Amino acid sequence: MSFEKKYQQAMEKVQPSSTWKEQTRMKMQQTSSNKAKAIPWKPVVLPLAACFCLAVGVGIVFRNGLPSTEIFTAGGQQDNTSSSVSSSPAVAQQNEPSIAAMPRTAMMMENPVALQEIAFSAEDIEIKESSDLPMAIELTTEPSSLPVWQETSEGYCFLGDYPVVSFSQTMEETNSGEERFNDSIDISTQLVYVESCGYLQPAYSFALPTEDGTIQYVGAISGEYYNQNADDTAKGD
Amino acid sequence: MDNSPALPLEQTLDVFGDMVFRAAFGMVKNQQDAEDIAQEVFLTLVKKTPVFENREHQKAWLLRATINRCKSHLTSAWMRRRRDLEDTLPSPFTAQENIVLDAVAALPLKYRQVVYLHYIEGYTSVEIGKLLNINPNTVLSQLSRARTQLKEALKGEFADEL
Repeated sequence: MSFEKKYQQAMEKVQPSSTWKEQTRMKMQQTSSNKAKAIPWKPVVLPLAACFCLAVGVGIVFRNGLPSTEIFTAGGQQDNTSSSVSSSPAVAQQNEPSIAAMPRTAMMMENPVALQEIAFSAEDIEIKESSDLPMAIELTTEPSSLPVWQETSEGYCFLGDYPVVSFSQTMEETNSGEERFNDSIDISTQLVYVESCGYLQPAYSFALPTEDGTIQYVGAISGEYYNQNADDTAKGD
Repeated sequence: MDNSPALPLEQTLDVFGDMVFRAAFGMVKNQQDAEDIAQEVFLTLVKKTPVFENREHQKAWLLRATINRCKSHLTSAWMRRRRDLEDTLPSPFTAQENIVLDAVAALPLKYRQVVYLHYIEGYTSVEIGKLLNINPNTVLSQLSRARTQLKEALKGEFADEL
């Protein structure tokens, strides 16, 4: 008999013990149930833990300042050897220690009192735009028009007096205008300020088409006062 | 090549259990170790739940997992220091079969695996190459060297028929 036959014959006799299959089957079932129990928490908890760690890390960085900034700000002396490229504020402040450029942690270590120096009081606050605003107007009767102001980068800009309309009326007109001009006009996107009870209130102006084809901006009055009046007027009519 | 769909997990033990055990025994030539290794292979199958293209792929995965586990077992520090006790249990093998099994067990592991896969599982050198992730020519040379060593070990037995 050849080697191959003898080898195959011998290997055919190789059998596991009678209990092996049962034991293995039991362990397989046990492993399967353990796996089923273990799976649900992993995909949920691990990303949450990662997000939490990230949030804590970001919070620490924003609260304490980046560690690298301490190289040239701590003690008000710049470390020129650390980097050939330095930001312009740091260069400007090379000989002038600045509180603003100092991270909070470094500042507290250097001079605990320094934090008080950057605290400001209400007197220091100056609202430049306030000088451009009209005096508060006491509105005793329902106004037919209101001054509309728009906030620009240079302050508030007076747009003009616009008729007072109710919000719902404005929307109706806007919708009709929208249909007529087939979306060719940018409507209801311009933020304006409407004077109301002596205050400027944010509102939106609506570009409405007129009979002769020109565009008229109408201020939509926000706030309960004017809406209430408009409703009362409608009821009176 | 068995292209029938892969078996569900519950049936793998019944269908491939003996094969996995035999493969483990062919590598380690110890009943208890072979049972432990085969059991670990099936537990790994449950844990990893790999997706198989067909039954042949499933069989190849099990054989490869068994061989890998045998390698770890045989190279473990515990195994290297172990001295087997005399086996008092009656052996199912005849004297000639024992000689053959001992000769195969004495081969280096890399030769033992190709001998087992070729003579018992009937794989060709190309199939063994795919299964073990080695070049088919390497498989052929390993088979050739294994035969030479077996010839030497089985001098006067079946040497002429190898």
